[in-house]
Amino acid sequence: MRNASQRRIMIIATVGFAVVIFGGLGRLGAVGSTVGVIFSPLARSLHSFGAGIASELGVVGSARNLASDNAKLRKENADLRSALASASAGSTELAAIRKELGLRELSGKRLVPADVISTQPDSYRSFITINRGSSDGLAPGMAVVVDGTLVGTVNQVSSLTSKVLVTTDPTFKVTGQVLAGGSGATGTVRGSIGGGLLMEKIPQDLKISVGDTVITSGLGGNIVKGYSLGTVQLVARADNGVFQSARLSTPVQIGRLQTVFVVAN
Amino acid sequence: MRQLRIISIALLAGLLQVSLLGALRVEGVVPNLVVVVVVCFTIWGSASEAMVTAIIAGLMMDVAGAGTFGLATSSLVLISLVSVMVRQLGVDGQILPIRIALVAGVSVLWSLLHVASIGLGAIALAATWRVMGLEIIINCLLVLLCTERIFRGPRTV
Repeated sequence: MRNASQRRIMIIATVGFAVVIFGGLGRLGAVGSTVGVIFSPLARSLHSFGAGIASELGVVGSARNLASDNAKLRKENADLRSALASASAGSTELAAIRKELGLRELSGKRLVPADVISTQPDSYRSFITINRGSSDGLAPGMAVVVDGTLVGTVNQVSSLTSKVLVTTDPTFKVTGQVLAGGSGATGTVRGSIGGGLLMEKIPQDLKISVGDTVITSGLGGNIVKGYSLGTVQLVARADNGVFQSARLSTPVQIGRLQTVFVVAN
Repeated sequence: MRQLRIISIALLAGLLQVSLLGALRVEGVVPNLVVVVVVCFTIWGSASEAMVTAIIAGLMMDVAGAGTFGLATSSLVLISLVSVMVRQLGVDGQILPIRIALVAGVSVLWSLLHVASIGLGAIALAATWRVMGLEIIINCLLVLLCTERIFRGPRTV
């Protein structure tokens, strides 16, 4: 009886590990796609339901801070109006210079809307699965945004779905630039376990302050300049260090994402 | 009939894990229902039932996730084997404090395997330990919702 049981366990374990090895070698592509097609409508509904609950809980939790949030948003609104005015003047000037120099326009990108089907089912990585794939023109490396904020980059693409590496994943890296303050300090922004972003390798002599906005710098990779990454929450400086680092708060909350936009070429 | 029930529970746990629970993050931490279900099957069911659940739910997590393929399945199979070994040592998981301790222990194992897959340097970070601690607490709360009636089956090794 005992031997039969142990033999059964060995058979199950062997089958399980064989499937894992085949999957690791990429031999389960068709099976994975089929499972995805079968479960995606139900998974999408359950994800939307969970995201709705998470948003409602967030609203209840933030009700206590309404007064301070209101004051902060008023100040941010005034800053943004001022920034918009100078940006409008700058863009007119830039258009004139581009015309003079005969440079082509940077546009030509299109936004592909996508629904989030599921999220990474563990606490240590940050991926989302979206319902658009190579048949919609998606390719690895494309930026994924929502409300002008970088959500992540397309990582794996199948014909109908894609997996997006979210900025809060510990393996995600992008070059960021501090927008406010005029220092233009750049550094490497990477995700951290449990959410949040870290900006590292910022030269020590450049000034950064709490509340500064950090955007993508456009240096390296496929991500263009100007997508918001977050705001500086904490600055860490060492007297004898060459670089300083900062912790950023990001508006990207993986559990609440329902619709995102892929920046396709 | 029993096999159909086990497969249904495994599929449901896997589906909830990749959809609803993935969205319901508490401070960035995902409640790990699948780990709790596998441990409950080793306590109230049999080792082979726990392993079947580990493989079905683990593969669903691996297909839905995008990290190292097979990590969830391998971790869950290892967790089911560890839980069976603990039971063979005479530790009775039917007693609630022991059940909670068992879930806490395997949650640590799950976390360490996943953090190691990112890089051993991540283990030294305070944020990692905060997430790990919170995940253990949430999983221990989840096990309180699991009753014998759901998992009871023939107790064989």
